[in-house]
Amino acid sequence: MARKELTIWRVIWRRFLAFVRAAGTRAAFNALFGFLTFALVLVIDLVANSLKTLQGSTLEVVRTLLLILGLFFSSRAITPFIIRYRDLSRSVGKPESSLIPVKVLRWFVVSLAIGCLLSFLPYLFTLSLGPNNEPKNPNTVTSIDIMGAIWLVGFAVLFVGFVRFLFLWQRTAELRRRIMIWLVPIALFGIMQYLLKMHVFVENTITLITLYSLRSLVIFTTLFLWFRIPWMPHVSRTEKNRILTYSALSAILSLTAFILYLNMATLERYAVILHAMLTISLLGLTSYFGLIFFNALFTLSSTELVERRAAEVQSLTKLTRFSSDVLTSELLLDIPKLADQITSLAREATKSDCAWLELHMKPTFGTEISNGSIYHSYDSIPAAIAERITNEISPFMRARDKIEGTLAEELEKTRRPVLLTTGSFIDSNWDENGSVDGPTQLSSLIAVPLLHKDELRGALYIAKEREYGFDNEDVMVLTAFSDIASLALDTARLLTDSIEKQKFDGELRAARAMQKSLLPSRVPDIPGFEVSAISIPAYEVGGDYYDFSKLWDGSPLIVIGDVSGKGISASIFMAETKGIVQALAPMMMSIREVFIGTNDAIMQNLGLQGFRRSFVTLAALSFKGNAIKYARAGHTPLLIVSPTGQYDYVQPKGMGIGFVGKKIFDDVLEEKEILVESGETIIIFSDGITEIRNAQEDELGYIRFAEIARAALEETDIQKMTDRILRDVLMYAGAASFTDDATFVVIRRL
Amino acid sequence: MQLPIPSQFTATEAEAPTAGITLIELSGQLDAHTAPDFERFLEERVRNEKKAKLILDFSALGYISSAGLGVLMGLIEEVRAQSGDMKLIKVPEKIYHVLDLLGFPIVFEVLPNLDDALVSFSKVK
Repeated sequence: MARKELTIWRVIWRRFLAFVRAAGTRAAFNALFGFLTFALVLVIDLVANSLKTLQGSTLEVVRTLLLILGLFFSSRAITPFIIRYRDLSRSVGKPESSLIPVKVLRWFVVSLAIGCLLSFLPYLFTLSLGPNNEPKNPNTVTSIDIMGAIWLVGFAVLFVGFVRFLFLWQRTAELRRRIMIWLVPIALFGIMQYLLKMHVFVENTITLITLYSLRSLVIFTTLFLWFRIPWMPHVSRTEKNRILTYSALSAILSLTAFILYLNMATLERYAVILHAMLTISLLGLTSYFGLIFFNALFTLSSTELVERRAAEVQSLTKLTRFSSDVLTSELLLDIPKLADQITSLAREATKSDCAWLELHMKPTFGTEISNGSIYHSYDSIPAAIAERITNEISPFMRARDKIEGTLAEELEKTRRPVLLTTGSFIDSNWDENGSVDGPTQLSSLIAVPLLHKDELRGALYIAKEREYGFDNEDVMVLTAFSDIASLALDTARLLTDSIEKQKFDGELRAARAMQKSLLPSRVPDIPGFEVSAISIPAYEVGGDYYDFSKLWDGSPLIVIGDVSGKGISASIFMAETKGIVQALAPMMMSIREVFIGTNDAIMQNLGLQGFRRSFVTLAALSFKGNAIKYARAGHTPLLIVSPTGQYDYVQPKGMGIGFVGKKIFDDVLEEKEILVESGETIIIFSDGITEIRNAQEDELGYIRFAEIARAALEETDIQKMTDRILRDVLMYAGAASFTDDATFVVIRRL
Repeated sequence: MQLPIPSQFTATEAEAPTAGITLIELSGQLDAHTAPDFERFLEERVRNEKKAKLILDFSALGYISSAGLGVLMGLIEEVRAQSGDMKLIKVPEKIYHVLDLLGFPIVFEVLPNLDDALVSFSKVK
């Protein structure tokens, strides 16, 4: 029973200890303990004041120890709020290290200013002091103690701030040791003053000299310990200006505070040792800020160098990142875009005013960039100026017209970078009409060749307005960059080639399959007529199609269409068109209505699906009894051949589908009734037929096609007739291959 | 300034006959292969200046395919939206036939020669 109780008490005791330990790390508890300590000192002082007997050195020792404890607690309490890392860091786009000193110094300026103001606290109270500055009444004791507590907390703030400032750059045991060393003369000075006050020493010349030596020692240790300011080399010029201002202000303010507090009787009365330490550390701070000021001042001249280095490192990093980015990105598939990217990056990385690039394109398979062309890319410079500098004026004569070689020729000849830093390439005079906007003067320039296995593939130029804007290191950076750029461009070129080839093969197969699947497998039965159709895809698939359908009243419909463009996109467009026509026809009374509906639908879809430059031509025939109606939307006309061999092309008005909006399209579109006698043949066809060429590049044309059709009348079977027409067309083309689909539908009235 | 184009098509910006009007001479074959280059060439001119007034000289053009026509049709709206215009001159008969089939003359002004086109532009002003 007794043992159990004991355990409970032990548990409670342990809990209490743990609680105190945890509380010690929390600001609120530290503040509370600090407050309690200061309050305790106040109580002691009040008691001592009322009981005159309670005086002497023992009391002073107890008070001092308590005050040091109070200082300790208040320091810990404020630590989390002084120079917080999250307030300092992460200003977007600026390196962390270079901004922090500015912010911290600003903080010191503010804190020290407040510290100076606090020295005027005694004027707020009515103090009645004796000849030795001893308080005469309890009220004065309370006032002094409150002020003393405020000053001590202020001191704690400064001290913690200073230590934090030092710890921002190095968190090493070495630094801790240095701070300890720094504190030694301060502590010594405090103890010395204390002993003097307690009359342990007599105030004589020796003690005075010792005191002054200790003061100087604080200054010297400060200078010695922190002579090297680790962050100073990383600070940029503009920040250095701010640092100069703030450190000067801080030094002046801490010196002011030192003078203001030096002979502060109330503080000395409150705590001699702390007063001494506070004042002397203010002196230390003065020398520290002075050190920063002069350090910043003397390193001002080297700042530009530092900035240049930083800029170079930055640009190299940028370039490296570029090379790794680009080698995995889709930029590699778009050479012009890649070239533009390279140009603007070169300008940015070298901080130039403008940049331009010339790229001799090798012929690539199937791309828009063609044989022997030169791709130009300009950044922040009009083409006219860049052209003039590259191709019209001599680099060594500047501003005047070509006398010897041009810059381009120079590069071609030497294959080496050119650096020019004086004179001017253009000045305000060269463009007398003032017709070209852009820089009015360019004086510094670097031109580097883009080489691929000793072959000149292009050149990269950067220029600045001012003279001596570049040096050899810039040339090196740009050369390194141009190597990466050349590599990227070569890779892009190879990749584009192989992908285009693959894509082309794949696309061709897919398009063929799609086209085939879209054509009807058999011809419809149209009472009183025979129908036969054929479509031959070109090597590069086009977008021909034909289809059979029915109108609202059941009358059969024959549609033929030709979609602009080639390849898979044309096939998709064709499928879309076919779908629309298929869907519309059974709801419409006439071809005209079908076409109008199709145009509406396609005009709406064009913007959406990126077929902006696409259109389709359609022609259709509808059959009702013996009456045939015909309309065409931009399509080739219809050919009628009579059994006697007379032929005629019928071409009612109608615009291509996908060109114009409803109003014009509807207005223009005509639907014609054509009379077809028994035995007469109608042929609707795509332009692939009439535009087919022979070896002499002569088109087949309408007349020859009609003649072929007329000759084919010999065949009585419609299928054979179709085959014969095709054969004759192919014979005309001879060895030349189709460049477009060839499609036609033959209809003969029985 | 010349746009170099493979095989057989070139588009050349000729001496401007009147300030603010651009004459472009086309020659060769404007087909599916050369159309994208031509499109870029034209787009550049349309984007570079608002109110682009373009006269396209077709006299040396041997062939125009649907893709080439698509380029013209696709751009005319943009040009007109910026209160510019595109006019075609000296269109060979064969090509005119193709244009006619598609209804181009309804949208584009197709004129016999440069003077007519200039007069036509000045009238609009």
